[in-house]
Amino acid sequence: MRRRREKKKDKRKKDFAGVLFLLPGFAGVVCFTLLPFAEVIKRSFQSAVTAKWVGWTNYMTVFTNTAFRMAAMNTLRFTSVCIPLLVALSLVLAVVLQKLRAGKNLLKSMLLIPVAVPAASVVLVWKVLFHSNGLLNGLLLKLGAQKVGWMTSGAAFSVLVVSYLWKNLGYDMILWLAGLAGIPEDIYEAARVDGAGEWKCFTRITIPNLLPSLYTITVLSFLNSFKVFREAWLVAGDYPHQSMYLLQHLYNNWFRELSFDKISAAAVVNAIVVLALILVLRRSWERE
Amino acid sequence: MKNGKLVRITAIFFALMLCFTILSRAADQLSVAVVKTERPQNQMIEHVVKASGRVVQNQELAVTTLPDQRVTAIYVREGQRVAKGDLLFEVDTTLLEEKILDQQQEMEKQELLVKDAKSQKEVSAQQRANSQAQAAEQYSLSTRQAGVQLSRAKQQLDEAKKKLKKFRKSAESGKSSGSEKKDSEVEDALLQALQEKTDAYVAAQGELRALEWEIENAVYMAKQDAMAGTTAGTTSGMTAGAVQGATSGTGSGDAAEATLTMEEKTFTGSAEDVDEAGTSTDTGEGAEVTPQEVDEGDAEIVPETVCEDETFADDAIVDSISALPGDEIDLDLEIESVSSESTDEQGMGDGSTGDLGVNVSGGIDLGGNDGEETDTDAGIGNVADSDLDVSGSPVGSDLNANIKDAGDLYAGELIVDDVQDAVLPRMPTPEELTQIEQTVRANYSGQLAEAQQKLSDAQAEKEAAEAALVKYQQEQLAADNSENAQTAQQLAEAVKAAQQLYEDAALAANEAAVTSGRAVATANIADPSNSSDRMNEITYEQMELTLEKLEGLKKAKGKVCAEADGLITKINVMTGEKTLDTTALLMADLSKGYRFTADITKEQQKYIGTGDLVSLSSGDGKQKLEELPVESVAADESDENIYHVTVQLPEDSFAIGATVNLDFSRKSEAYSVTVPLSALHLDSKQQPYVLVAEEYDSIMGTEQRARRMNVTVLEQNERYAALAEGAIGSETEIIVQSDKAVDDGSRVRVET
Amino acid sequence: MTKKFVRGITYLPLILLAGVICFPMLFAATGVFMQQWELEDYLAPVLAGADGMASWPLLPHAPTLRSLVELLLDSPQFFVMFWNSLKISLCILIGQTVFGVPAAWGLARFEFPGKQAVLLLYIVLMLMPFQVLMLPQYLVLDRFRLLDTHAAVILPAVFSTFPVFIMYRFFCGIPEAILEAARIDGAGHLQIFFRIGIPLGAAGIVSSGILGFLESWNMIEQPMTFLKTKSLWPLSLFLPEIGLAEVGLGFAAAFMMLVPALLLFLSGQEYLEQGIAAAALKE
Repeated sequence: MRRRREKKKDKRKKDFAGVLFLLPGFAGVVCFTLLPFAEVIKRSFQSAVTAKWVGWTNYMTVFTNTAFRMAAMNTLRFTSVCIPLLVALSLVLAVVLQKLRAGKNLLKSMLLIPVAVPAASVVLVWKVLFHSNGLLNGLLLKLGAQKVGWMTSGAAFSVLVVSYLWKNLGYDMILWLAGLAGIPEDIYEAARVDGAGEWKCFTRITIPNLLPSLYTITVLSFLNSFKVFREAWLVAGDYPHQSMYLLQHLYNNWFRELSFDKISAAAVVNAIVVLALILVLRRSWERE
Repeated sequence: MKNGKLVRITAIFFALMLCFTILSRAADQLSVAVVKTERPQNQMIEHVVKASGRVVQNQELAVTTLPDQRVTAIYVREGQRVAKGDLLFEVDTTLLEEKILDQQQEMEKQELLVKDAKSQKEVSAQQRANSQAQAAEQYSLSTRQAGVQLSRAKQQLDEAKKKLKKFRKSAESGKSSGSEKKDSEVEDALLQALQEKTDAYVAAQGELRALEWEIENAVYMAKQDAMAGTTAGTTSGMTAGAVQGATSGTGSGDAAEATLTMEEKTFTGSAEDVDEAGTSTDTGEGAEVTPQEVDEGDAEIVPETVCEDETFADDAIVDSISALPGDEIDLDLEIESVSSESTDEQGMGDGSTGDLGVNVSGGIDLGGNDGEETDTDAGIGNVADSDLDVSGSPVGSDLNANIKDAGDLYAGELIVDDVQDAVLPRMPTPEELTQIEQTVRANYSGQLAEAQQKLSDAQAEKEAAEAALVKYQQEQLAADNSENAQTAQQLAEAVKAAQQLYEDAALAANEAAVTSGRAVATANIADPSNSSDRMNEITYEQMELTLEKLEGLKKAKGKVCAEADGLITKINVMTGEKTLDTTALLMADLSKGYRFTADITKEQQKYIGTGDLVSLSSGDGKQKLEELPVESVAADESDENIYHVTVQLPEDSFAIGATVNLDFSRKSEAYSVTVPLSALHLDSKQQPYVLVAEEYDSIMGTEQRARRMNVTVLEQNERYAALAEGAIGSETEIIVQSDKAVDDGSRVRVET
Repeated sequence: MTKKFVRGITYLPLILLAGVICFPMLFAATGVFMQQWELEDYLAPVLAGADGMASWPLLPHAPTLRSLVELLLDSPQFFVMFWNSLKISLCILIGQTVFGVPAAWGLARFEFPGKQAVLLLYIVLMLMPFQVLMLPQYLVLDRFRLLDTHAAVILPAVFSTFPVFIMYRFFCGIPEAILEAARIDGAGHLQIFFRIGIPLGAAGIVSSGILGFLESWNMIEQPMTFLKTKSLWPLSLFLPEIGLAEVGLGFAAAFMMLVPALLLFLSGQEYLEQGIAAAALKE
């Protein structure tokens, strides 16, 4: 199937008209993102105030910065924990939901609502929920457990994870559902005729067929994982508990402090890491 | 379609939101206070003083006429202007003539009354002169009698002595002379001593008497002074002087010195008298100084002057008496030298010396008389002189002591009381009189004690001399072997008796002198003044005056005219009615100008003062005067919140009684920050503040809100307040007006 | 029987999960109908530091529309921000459509050198967190003197690459045969784009539009970084500033912010799902 589409593509005329379609948008991108980013790259080798060429000093500063290390570690930890968790959970949810007959759409809508809910609207709810005197601790006390300092201890990380899952579960579920819908029903029927069970069908048919979607879902989850900063920032402010101190917090604070040299270097590093990640993912996906 | 419905709902939602947006904006605008702002101005704070007042005359003339005249016609009305000499009103001349007649008759009566009183007075004066003359006669008589008796006693004594001497001589001649002669010399010396001592004793006695009399006199005078309430005006002699010295001593030493000077003057004056007398002696007329002359001198000082002027006479007496001790001090040297002669030689000159002393002492005529008649008198005078000399100094020191003790609280208070009493014309209480008496007596106590001491000393010496003589004579007798002893004894006894007699006579003479002197003084005391005749005269004079006025009016034919240009302000008389004792009519004296007065508040008073140039305008605004200086700004006597402003007006500016408005503005220094008073607020702690409109960045865009700024008010008037520079600059928009209550932080909209 | 039971059993956790996920919205919705005092009563331990634990009833004790009325009638500030939010979102939406759709079309339907590189670039940029692009954007906005204007928020968002990515996927799904037929009929590139591309890719455009609107409606960091003037702020910046004193107002405002997003979500859910799903489709 894929091969067929590639053949089709090959048939297309090589036409520079496409460039004209692309150009306005691309010009904007260049103008508002690429060129300034080039400026940032240049700045990453300069000192902040005097714009003197300092070589790799800024990078060294950033890498030796404990806050950067911590934020980078947190971000890494967060993505490595959240993305598999989210992908797996949403897949399960999608598979279960796909099997349902009644209430499928309602549940789908309910699960998808958080996508639409502005973070600012529910920031009050988060505050009330996760405050040490909040509703969650009230519930824990009623169940006989101890209070948990949700925002003041390592548990802050789990709050971050929960809010991320809350926001993106429905979104990823929809993605999985689309992937599931792309699997022809006759394959399952043939497998069942061959006497394969539900589990076997899932592992032998569903999973392999969903693998191409995995790349996109992972990328999109990765994209959305950055947006969790919004909730974290609204609830905990500029300097939250260090277990949820992400790179975004760090950049934000550096920006406010006008440490343009550090932020430039860090942005370049960040961009390189993202690029590398994409390339790796793509390579693995194309190998498939 | 479901989606279409949702799209519609979305559209409706946004439409609703639009409506609510408009509604909420409208509601919001209603709640925002609309304010006006101003920037602080650089200007002066002007304090405007406005007041309304009236024009009044500077001086009011009262036109009066005689009371009880019937007014026949009034030619002026209130508010009319009159020139000098204009006829004001007329009174009935027939009634006037009647009055004049009445008055003349009354005056005749009064004249008769005055004459009666005068004749009455003359008679009483005559009687008084008679009694004085009698007293003087009595005085000279008694002293002369005493002198005669004394001289007789002296003669007897001398005779007794001569007899004794003769007997002795005869007795001795019979015997061997030599030692006898010596004996008789001794006895003579003893007798001589006895004689001297006796004289001294008698003189001391006389002095004591004189002193006592003097004290009584001084006490009487002091009391009299206190009663009369006179102090400084009359020279009340040494007593009063002493008191005065003490009094002024409390105030200042100068006054005390003044008193001393006064004393010295008195003394100098007397000394001159003495000099005069002394000159006459020097020119060889000393022997011819007769008692008449002495008497004349005395009379000059004492009785005759009394007749002429009672007050002066009193003073003179006291002077002459009080001068006694002081005079003697100065005379001292002269007299001593003379007296040494007189004691040795007993020459005729002694008499003149004695006269001299007597002349000076004045009060004691006795000495003078004696000096004329007997030799020993000179001695008495001498002794008296020397004694007085001694006694004089304590008086001086007493005076000094008085001055020194001026600081003494008790004496000071006491004397101040006295002076106050004297100054205030009121009757002294008996206690005070006693006090005065005590003071006077205290002044003399030293002197008195001295005199008494002297007297007793003289007596003791005399007795010692007697004893010595008796002893000698007894020894003599004892030594006399013969039968002569009996006779000698008898003779000596006789001498002794004569001596005794002589002493008694001398004492009696002293007594007589003092007693009759007192009588003279009593006679000299003036009768209580009687002023009824003078009062009658005054009544007469007054009547004369009234008559003159009546006749003046008659001469003017009952017409009363204006004395100066003026404006009639009030008429108190009515045609046909009789005039009263009060003013007939009042008129403003136009020649004296007029002024504007207005009442201002205490607040306004701060800004207007004397000399400020104000402008005045009449109530209707037609007339206006600029730059008139304020004459005075004075507080009201009764209400301290009201002040009166007075401005002198030039002639012919405003009519009297017109309402005139005063305008004055005082400008302060220029303040860089002045705001209208409406911008200034006070909080509950009386802290002044202004509200400043400031822009701020809000969600609604750039909005304005009021911000409170505390300020310090430097000065303010009814419209502006000057603020201390600081937070408020010239660019600050200060809220001066607002349609709603505005507070710190209130949102406002600035109206442009 | 057992199959039905198993199916019933599976509903339970799903419903529970859905309830948990929807709880914040329910919470916010309940708060809207509470009065200030009631909210303070429940939330004081959290917002005012009072003792005890916060509690939350399922239904308001004394339901009222007071907060809502107060917000709608007495708070012009809210509307300023509301319209700011709407303006920003709509401008972004329009800009993304105008610039993004042709770009996606060009990328999807034409072959030209460097296309793969551009695609990669778009994906990389799409994945860049805002904080990384914050400084470059700040620099360029500063250069164009656009800071502290709505354009500072709108322009970078217009040229964001995510919608292009979504629409690219949709346009790729259009069968080549249809375009070929059109070309044979002599249609030009533009004609094909407008006559065939847009109608057939409408679902993708709408879904990317919905996603773009939700994203821009929810935007916080960009306005916070680029807007200093309060009157330019969108609603998302107003809400976090609400304290206990105005918590009733805060709930009402949060609710009013939620409403358009939910309405859009509900009306465009189909397209949204398609749009999300399009990304997952195999290339």
